[in-house]
Formats: sequence, C-alpha cells, structure tokens
Amino acid sequence: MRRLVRARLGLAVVAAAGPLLALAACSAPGPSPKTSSDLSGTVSTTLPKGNVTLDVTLQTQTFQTALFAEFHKQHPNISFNITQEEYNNLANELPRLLSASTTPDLIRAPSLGSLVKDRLVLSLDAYAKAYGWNDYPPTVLQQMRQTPDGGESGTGSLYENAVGGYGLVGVFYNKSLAARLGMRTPPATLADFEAVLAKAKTAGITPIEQPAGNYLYPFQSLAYQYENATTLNNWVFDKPGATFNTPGLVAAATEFQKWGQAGYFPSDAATLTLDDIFTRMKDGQGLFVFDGDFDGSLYQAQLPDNVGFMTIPALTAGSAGVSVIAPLTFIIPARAKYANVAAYFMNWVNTNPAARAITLDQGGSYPGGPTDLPLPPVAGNSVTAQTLPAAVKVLKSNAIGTYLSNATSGIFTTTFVPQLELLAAGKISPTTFVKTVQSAYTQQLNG
Amino acid sequence: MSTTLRRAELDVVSTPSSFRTARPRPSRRRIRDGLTAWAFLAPAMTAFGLLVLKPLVTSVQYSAYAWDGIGAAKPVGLSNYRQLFTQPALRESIIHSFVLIIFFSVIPVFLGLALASIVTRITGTFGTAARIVLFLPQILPLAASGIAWKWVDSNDGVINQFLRLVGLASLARPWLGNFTTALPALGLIGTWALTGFCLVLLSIGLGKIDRSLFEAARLDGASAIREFFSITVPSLRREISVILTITIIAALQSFDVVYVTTQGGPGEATAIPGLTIYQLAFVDNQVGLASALGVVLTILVFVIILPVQRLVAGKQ
Repeated sequence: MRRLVRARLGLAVVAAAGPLLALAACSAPGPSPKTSSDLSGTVSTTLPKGNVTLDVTLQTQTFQTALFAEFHKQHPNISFNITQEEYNNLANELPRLLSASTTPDLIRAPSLGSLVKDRLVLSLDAYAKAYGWNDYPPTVLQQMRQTPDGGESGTGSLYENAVGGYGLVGVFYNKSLAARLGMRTPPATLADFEAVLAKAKTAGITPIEQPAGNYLYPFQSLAYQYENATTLNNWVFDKPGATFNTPGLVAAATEFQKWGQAGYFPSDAATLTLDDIFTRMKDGQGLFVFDGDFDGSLYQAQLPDNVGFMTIPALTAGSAGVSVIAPLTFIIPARAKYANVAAYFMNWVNTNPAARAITLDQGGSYPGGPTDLPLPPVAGNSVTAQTLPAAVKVLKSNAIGTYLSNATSGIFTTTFVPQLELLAAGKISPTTFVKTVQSAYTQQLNG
Repeated sequence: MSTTLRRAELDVVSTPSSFRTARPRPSRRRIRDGLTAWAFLAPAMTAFGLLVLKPLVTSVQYSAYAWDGIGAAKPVGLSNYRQLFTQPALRESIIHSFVLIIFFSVIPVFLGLALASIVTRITGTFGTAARIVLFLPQILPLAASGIAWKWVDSNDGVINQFLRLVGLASLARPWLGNFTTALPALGLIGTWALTGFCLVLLSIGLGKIDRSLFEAARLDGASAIREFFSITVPSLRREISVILTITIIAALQSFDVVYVTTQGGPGEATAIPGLTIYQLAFVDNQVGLASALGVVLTILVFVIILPVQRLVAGKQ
C-alpha cells in the first residue's frame, strides 16, 4: 500500500509541476515598455473657478494637514480629500499607489526610487519655469532632480517639490546637563564634541541617545566630515562609478565604531523609541540626540527652555561642518487628475506668508522656497530660534549633505540599519562595512 | 485491535478499484452523485486555486525575472536563485529559522505533553480555568502579543524589573535588543503562543486513550512515568505529528512576530527568510529575487515536513 501512496504522490507532484513550469514560461510580468514619454498636459498657473476636490496622500502624524486647511480657507472652492498612511507603509506602497487606476493628485514621496523609470511621476520642469522654482537654492533643487530614464539623480528634470520646508539634521541636547559638563557653547571641532561625549560617559550619562534603527543620522554626520560632500552626494545620486568604498568613509566608519565601542550609544539602542528618548533626555539620563529640526517642537515640549540645538562641527577649527539639509518632498503622480491645482498648491506652500509661518511654527523647518523671501517671525524662547538661523547658515554654504538613505529605495532598511548596528557593536570592521554597503548598493541598482 | 484497523483501512482503499471491476459503467445516479460532490467542492477548490495555486505559479514565474514590481521585467533565467545561494546573510537567516523550530515546535510539544497530563487530572472549575488561561495566547494575534512582549523584554520591562528586585541586576539586559539573547527571546514568544495550542490538541488526544490500558499497566506495577512513556506518548502519535507539522511551518514562515518586535535586528541577529522576502519585494522592489526566495522557502518546508510526518506518524 505504501508503494501505492508513493506512486500517487509522484503523480501529484508531476501533475502540479507541469502547469507550474508551463505557466512560468509565459509572458513577462509588468507592462510592455512604453515609447511615448510626454505625460504632462497643458500647464496653467491659475486656479479653476469651480469646485474641485484633490486627493492627497500624506504620512501619519504630520503638521501638513494644517497647510491644506489654510489653503482651503484662502481658496474655498478647492477642497482636499486627505488619506494618511504610516511612513514606512507609504514608502513601500508608493509604486503600487501610483500605478493604480486612480492615483492621488499630490502625494508625499520620501524618495523617488524607480518611480521615474517606471513613468509614474510627472516632470515638474514646465511648472518650475512658470512659477520660478529654479530660484530655489541649487543644493536643494539638485536633490529633487533625476534624469528622465531614472538612472541618475542630482541632475536632469525636476520631479519633486518641498511641501513642509527644508529639514536640517543636527544635534539636540539637554542644555543644563551640557552646562554641567562644561559645554556652554556648541563645540568648535569634532574633537571638542568627542571630548564632551567622553565626559558625559564618565559622569554616567548616556552621551548619545539614538532611537532604534537610526544610527544613520550620527553616521552620516560623521561621513560628511570625513568625505568630500560632492563625492558622497554623487554616490547618493547614483552617478556612474560612484563608490562607498573610499578611505574617507572607512575613516568615518572607524570613528563611528569608536563611539559604539566606547559605550556612547545606549545599550538598548536596538529597542528604543523616540518617546523613550524624550523621557531620558528630560530625566537627564541622556545628553545628545541626532535628529532633524522637524522634531524640534517635540524636544521643546519635553525640555521647555532647556533644549539646545547645534549642527555637527567640522574636523578642523575655523571651518563649518557639512550638514544634511533636505526638502520634505512631494510629487505629482503622472496620472493625477488635477496636476495644475497640485502644482499651484506646491508653489503656494513655498511662497505664501501664512503657509510659510505654518511650516516654520508647526513643521519646525526652514519654510522652503527661494532664500530671498522674508522669513516668518520666531518667538525668542522657542527651539526654532536656534534651528532656523542654523538652517539659514547651512543653506548659504555651498557644501551640503543629503540623506545617504536616498541612494536606493531599500538601502536604509536592508543595509544601513543592520550594518550600522553590527559596526557599532564591533561585529564587523569598518572596511567590511563600506564593502557591504557598496555591494548591496550595486546589487540593488542592477537588480 | 490493530488487525481490525488495518482491515478497515484496506476496505476504504480497495473500494473504488473493486467497484470499478464489478461495474464497468457507472449508473446515472452515480454520475449525479459525483457531480453533486464536485458542486460542493467547487467553492473551496476555486478559492484554493485562486488564493494558493495561482500565487504559487506566479511566484515561480516571477522568480525567473528581474522585476521592480511595476515596470518592464527582464528575463534572467536562474540568476535570481544563483544570487540567493551566494549570499551568506541568507544562509544565516535559514539557520535562524531552524533555531526557531526548537522554540516553536520542540519545546511547546514537551511543555504541552507535561501540562496536558497534569491538566487532565485536575477536574472542576480550576481545571477549566487553567485550560482557558493556557490556551489564551493562541487566540491573540501574534502581532499583538509581539508588541506586548516587546515591553516585557525591554530594558525597563517586567523581566528586568524582577531581576533587579531579586538582586540579579547584572543579568538584566534588553532581551530583544541584545545580539546573543534576541533570537531565543523571540523564540520564547512563539513558545508562549503555541504551548496552549499543543495543550488543547494533546488533552483531546489524552481523553481518547482507553482507560483500561492505564488500569492494566497499573496492575502490572508500572509507575506514572512508565505509563507516560509507554502508553500516553505512543497513543498521541497522530496528534504530535499534526502539531509538529503546523508549528514547524509556523517557525519556518514566521514573519509577523519578527516584524513587530525586532525587524531582524539587532544587526542581523533575528533575520529570517519570511522577513527577507517581504523586504526584498516591498522595500528593495526586487520582486524576482523575493519570489525566488519564496519558492526556495516552500521547497524547504516540504523537505523538512515530509520526513517529520514519516518519522512521527510512522507505520500505518
């Protein structure tokens, strides 16, 4: 009987595998490559007279809803149907949201990924010309450009615009705690900064409180001091021949590992949330945290009048450190129904005084647009009084950094998060780290 | 007893063939019965075909392409598979899922057996209450219990608070955030969730064992332990086989609990194939590579489950 069973099983396997193989041989998944590429319709810079409702997709917990409410107040015939998705879900779902039969008219897009290559995003070149977006700071504009074949960023057509300003990454700190350790003004060099870290450690304070999966902020802050900004930006922009395996980045990784080995990060970093960090900063258990000005109000709420902000210092005294500043990017899907209205909104957000005030007050960041526009007033005791001048200074410098995580759509989650944890724990060498990142990068770009 | 059982099985197996020789042409009634049977089966078969077979076939198809999930796909033959087998990180993640089998299958079966023999002896409200409490983890979604366990295992969680209270502060650590303890800590969540399932299945099995066997053993002077290994365990073979099949698959395909607790970290300490498939497909947008890993995982599940079934379900 067992033989009978075996024979039947064999038959079943053959019966199942046959159609599997036959079907596997049939046509390729996905659409056939398109030939025409002009996706934009007629460009208009005026709003329609009738009632229009735009579909907008945002991430959850964002101040941007206030921008849409203000726009509706100023233009009552334009309404918004807002959908909100958790940040990671939104980032992962983006290609599918944009390839669906109906797409939003305006959507938060953390990075372009392969959206341009797959012809899912509208080129904003015509709007940029009509509205004068080309007067934005070139270092910011560069981050929103991509070649129309999607091969390279930092050059080519404009595909994104800022809705929520230009976010600056720096270091927040507990002021009174820092003063107790002798740090009354921000350190002038990286070495001075590291001296404060060492002092904090000796005093039993965690020098750098960093939430789970976000070693990227401290690492990229080091990377931009040890490696030339253009070289590193070219790597993020996928320029042909760009590599992560450089002596500068090995030095940055070595320094980062030194921090990890010296116990400058919390022992439970892998499980920390931002809320845990607020509590620890408030209780005086932690001194610094690398974060963006967009989270400034959260720190201020926890440490009223006691939160300090500084940008990462340079290796040598006398020169400014290279900081990461990046626009909070939105795109208009290729198949958006109301592209003209969406573009009008993008322009309004960056130029309208009321919108700029909301971006600065509630969003915490430099309110976008060209740098010659007047800035909204800032309350003297708010954290923005520290972050805004820092952002102005960074935007004026000609060397700025961009998020290393924008190099490929998956490099942050699948490479930087685990590899930086391994590096900090001393489980891999700095050389292995840069090689692993580079090979993942090549594999993801060619995959 | 075993002879009657065999004869019964033989009857079942031989009925169709003897039927065929006896009556070469099926009667109209027989055809109608057959059609009715198929009609009843049709909804389930359709769902199975659409939700299980079709995705399986498309996965095999996708695995032969380099595809970002949206744009045009490029046929690459077997290169996705070649890439899988040359990545050491992937080998690691398969080893991790084998470690999870210990926590998801082996420990729950032993715990379940021990608990079932105790619980079946306790009658009345307390016994029922014990059974409900032990089964409770099974009805909670693993994703939800994962979040609760994340708190329990955290630096200031219950476990560490207890350790500090009893003077073992040196042992306190972020269990899910530590390179050495993360995988076992994750496995224990599975143990906690699946022990109740094993308990219920094994208690039912225990209830079916002929009491006279125990009486006979007791008359022969067997100890409780001897009874357990000579009567209880062999009688529960089928239940254990079902449990092992289900829990081993749960271990090899686990995703939700890892996703909500560690995301594969710290470093790659808790990386498992299920999470890697998700990340390849939806984060890296490498649908072809993700499908290839999915196909490999399916084959792996078969390769492990079939011998287990043979070994445990044993001779028929």
